[in-house]
Amino acid sequence: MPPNTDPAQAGAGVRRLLAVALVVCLFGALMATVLTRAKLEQGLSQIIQARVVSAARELARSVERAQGLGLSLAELDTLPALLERHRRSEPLLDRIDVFDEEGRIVASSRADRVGAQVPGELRRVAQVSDELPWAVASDDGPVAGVSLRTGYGLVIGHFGLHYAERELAAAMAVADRRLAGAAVVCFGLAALSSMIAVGWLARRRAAHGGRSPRWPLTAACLLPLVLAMAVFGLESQRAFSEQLVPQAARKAAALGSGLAGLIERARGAGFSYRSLYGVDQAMRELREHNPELAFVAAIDAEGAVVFADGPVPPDVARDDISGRAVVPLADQGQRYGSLVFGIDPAFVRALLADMRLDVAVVLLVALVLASELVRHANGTAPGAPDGALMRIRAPVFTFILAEELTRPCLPAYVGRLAGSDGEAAAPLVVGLPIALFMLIVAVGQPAFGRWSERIGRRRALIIGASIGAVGFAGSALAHGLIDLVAWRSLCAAGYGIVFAAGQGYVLEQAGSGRTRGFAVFVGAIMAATVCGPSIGGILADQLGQRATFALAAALCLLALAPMLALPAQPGHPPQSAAIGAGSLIRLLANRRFAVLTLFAAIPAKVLLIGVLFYLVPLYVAELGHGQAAAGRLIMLYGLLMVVLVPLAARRGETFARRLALVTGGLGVTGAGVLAAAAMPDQAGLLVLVGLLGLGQALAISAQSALVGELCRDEVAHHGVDAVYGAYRMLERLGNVAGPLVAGALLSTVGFGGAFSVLGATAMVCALVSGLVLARARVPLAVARSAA
Amino acid sequence: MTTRRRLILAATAAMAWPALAATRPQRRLTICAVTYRGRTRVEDGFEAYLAARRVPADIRWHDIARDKARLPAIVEAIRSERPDLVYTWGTTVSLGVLGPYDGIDPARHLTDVPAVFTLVADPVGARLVPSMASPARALTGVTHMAPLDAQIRAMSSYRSFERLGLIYSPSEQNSRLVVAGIEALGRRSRFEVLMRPFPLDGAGRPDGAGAEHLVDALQQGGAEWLYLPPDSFLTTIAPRILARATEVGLPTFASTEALVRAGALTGVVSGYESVGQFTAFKAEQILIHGRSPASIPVETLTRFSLPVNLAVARRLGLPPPLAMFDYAELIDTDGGTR
Repeated sequence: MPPNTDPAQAGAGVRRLLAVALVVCLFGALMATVLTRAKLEQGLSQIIQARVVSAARELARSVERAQGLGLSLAELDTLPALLERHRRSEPLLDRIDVFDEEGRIVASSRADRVGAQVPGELRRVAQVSDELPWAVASDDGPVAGVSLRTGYGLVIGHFGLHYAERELAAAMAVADRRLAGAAVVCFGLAALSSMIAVGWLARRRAAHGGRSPRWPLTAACLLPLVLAMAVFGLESQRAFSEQLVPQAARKAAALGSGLAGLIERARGAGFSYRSLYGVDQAMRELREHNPELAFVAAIDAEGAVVFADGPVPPDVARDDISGRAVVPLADQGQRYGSLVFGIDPAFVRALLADMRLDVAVVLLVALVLASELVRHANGTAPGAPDGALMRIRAPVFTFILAEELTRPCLPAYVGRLAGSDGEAAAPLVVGLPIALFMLIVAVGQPAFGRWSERIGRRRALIIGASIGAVGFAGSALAHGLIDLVAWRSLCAAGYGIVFAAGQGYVLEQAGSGRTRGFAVFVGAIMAATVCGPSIGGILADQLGQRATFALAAALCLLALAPMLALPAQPGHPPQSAAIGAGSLIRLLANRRFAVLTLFAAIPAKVLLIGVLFYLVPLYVAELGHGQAAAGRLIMLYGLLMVVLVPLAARRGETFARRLALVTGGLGVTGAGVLAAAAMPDQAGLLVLVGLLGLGQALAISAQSALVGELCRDEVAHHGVDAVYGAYRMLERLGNVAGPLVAGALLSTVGFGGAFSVLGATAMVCALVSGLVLARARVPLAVARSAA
Repeated sequence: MTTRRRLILAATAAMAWPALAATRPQRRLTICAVTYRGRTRVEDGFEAYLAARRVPADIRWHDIARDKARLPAIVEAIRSERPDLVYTWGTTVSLGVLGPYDGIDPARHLTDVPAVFTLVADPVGARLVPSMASPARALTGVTHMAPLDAQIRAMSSYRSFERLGLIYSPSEQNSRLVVAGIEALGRRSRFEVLMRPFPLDGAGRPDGAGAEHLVDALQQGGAEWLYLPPDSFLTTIAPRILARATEVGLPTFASTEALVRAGALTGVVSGYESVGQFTAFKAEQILIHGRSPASIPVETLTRFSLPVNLAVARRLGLPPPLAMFDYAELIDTDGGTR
């Protein structure tokens, strides 16, 4: 191919690459800002919540004491005054309600609340709280509380302290200005330097005829972004300190008044301040529960330390140092000492360090995104080799990304919508929409393929993406299970159409270079598998599940642009025949094919979909981690596939080796699932996903190849496409069964049981298929040598 | 003071569940209650609960005034009264009225009336029921003993120790069971148990004449706490033992409320009103909700109180750990409960 020397074309290519640099930087900036802001908000609201919880504890103490003094809950006319007194003592509090086991408000600091019903969520949290204070974000705003119970466990009353997030909003407004400023400066500079670097590289590349490697362009997009993130991180730490340290000091003062109250009681019992016992231990417990406290000290009127825990600085008696809370200890106006709480500025750093996994994920995705976009900009530049083929990559990537975004949050979203009164739905119900999606894709695929052939691949792609956009938008707005299932069916139809049409497009454009065509197609899907779940998990945690679905709809619309730019081709009558039930039955009559399908291919898919896309997101939530953690795990699977599949594909040269890869892969997958049953924590999940990825990667190519070997006669009679079409169809039925089987197991034997049963079944299937098919090797080898 | 507080608890409990009204019987119900030494705070709690829950029951009181010989006459009287439920207080009365599960004598024991017993320290050891989970006969009840490990935990959170002293009557089965339990805990939690049983006289009865010497011996042997098991004989001479222990600087830990009232430093005990309320709760299950007593497990409270005698603590120079001021029930003989 002659060097591309047309200056107009070269200029267009440079402009496209500049746009790539801008998009990557914008993505990084947005994600970093959203993550940082959310972390700050979370830190602040936790501190504020702790203050209210400590007020709740005080209230419980005071109610119990009031009862001892003859005041009681039964004498309801005194209770509202007590509640009102406590409400006024903590400026965060709006009102305090006392409600019974049925959720009816029996007393309140606001008289008009009596007789009203508290939200069901609140009642449920209070009921399971036992003796510990609880906190919940109800429909009625945030509430913290305690429950008083009789000596035999029956509830006397639940105390709900409703508080406003005014202070949170004020602090966030200040922080937002600061973070926005920092983001504009850091990422603006990064975008500028990326564009300068990319522009220079692109011109040089154009001058060399576009033959230099692509990676310097990707690096030029990314390096300024990495630097900007580091600087932005430092700057946000300052913003965090400004807002969090004073809040932490206010919380410490609230904790301090509790401790001071105990000291007061002990002195009232006739023990002198200095003779008190276990003060340091009480301080140690406070510090264990509130890691932001660097030290707690009790000093006397002269400033000498009487009791302390943690490293107490020599200037402990000074009360003009920021990041400290001082609570006076006084007896009838006579001050005999103080409690001093020091805030550890490092706790802000720890909070930011919590984000490092998320930031690493963002950078990894930015890397994939940058290389994908650079590839697109280069590959589809006018005059580029394979231009028409490469054009399919960007729309397929963008469209598949939309579906992948929703993977980590879909089960929880279904559970929430299908459940009633804040309670999640039954596991099997949660599995249904996932199974239905798989069913539509599996059954519809061949039909979608022929249809897209008839009307033209481009038109089919556009229709598919539009249907998908409607489906995701509808899912984002869904009210309940029924309409969600309807919208998800549209998503499935869109997915099936885009998948089939994209595949068809690749085959038509690639011509004889089928393998290379498929590499382009599979590469786009793999990139989306790596990027989608991790970013989707973060977005679902920070912006919510509905926003994530809305974003998926937007991505579908975005995919339309490169689809519209595809070359228009007229449709033609389909050449491939439909897969009839007859051909399926004929194939299954081949005993060895049946064993391979039923004992290896289908179980592998059941495990993949049932475990990775269904059980893992639910289990991660059960372990108390966010959807971002689920997204990272699904991403890990995608990464392993990207890295391992090509390696494993090179290993399968003989029948024996392929069989070993298939059965070994299934066995490894089973072992991973069993590991999750044995280790009920995040480490177990990591092992599970690691082995699942390894197992699937080992088996995937070898399994396809085995089908060809085991079905030589059928291939000779019906053609490769018919045999593989039938095989894929059967395999996809495993996708359908996955969430249903996993859901049924989850509802009967729980997570541990489901993992155990699925893992053990995989082992047995691996054994059966290995034993049966190993015997098939000899005649085949004979047949080959004879040929 | 405490009485009122407990009563209030019952009343508030009632306030908290007004909607739990079940099928109310049309007629008034009759409960025959048999006590050992007159009315106690257990009965206060029992009555307060029934009243707060509006259980339409009349209680007819019988008391044996510590005299077992009165039991047969009372059993006869109850037979003629044909009550809906029988209530029995303590091990002696409960066994006397209801008999051991493996030795019921229809002539002496009530067999055809559902029963609730209360304040029985060890219902299985006393052979009232074969197991706590299922009484297997038409009775159920409430025991007031806190679990031993909870008692030991409370003791070591007051002041940690390595050597624990014990005084008990070898003639009392209940005491022997508790002592064995403490020894087992000591082996597990690695503390040493020093035991001083009361000597027995010719008739096999414990002799308390040298009780002060037992305390001294334990203190000199290095005991850091003196544990007082639920021992009837020990309870009768507890004031002497406790006074001596405080004098020689040995902190004391009580297993029953009576021992705390006698002047032990602290203990883990059931509030008698709570025990009474819980017993009434079980009575309500039988009378109003129609549950068979055999299907209702014998239980103890879920929460116990931790009384601290402040005067004793001051005299010993052992203030409770600061955190304990949050949940302990402070008793000050100079100034009342705080």
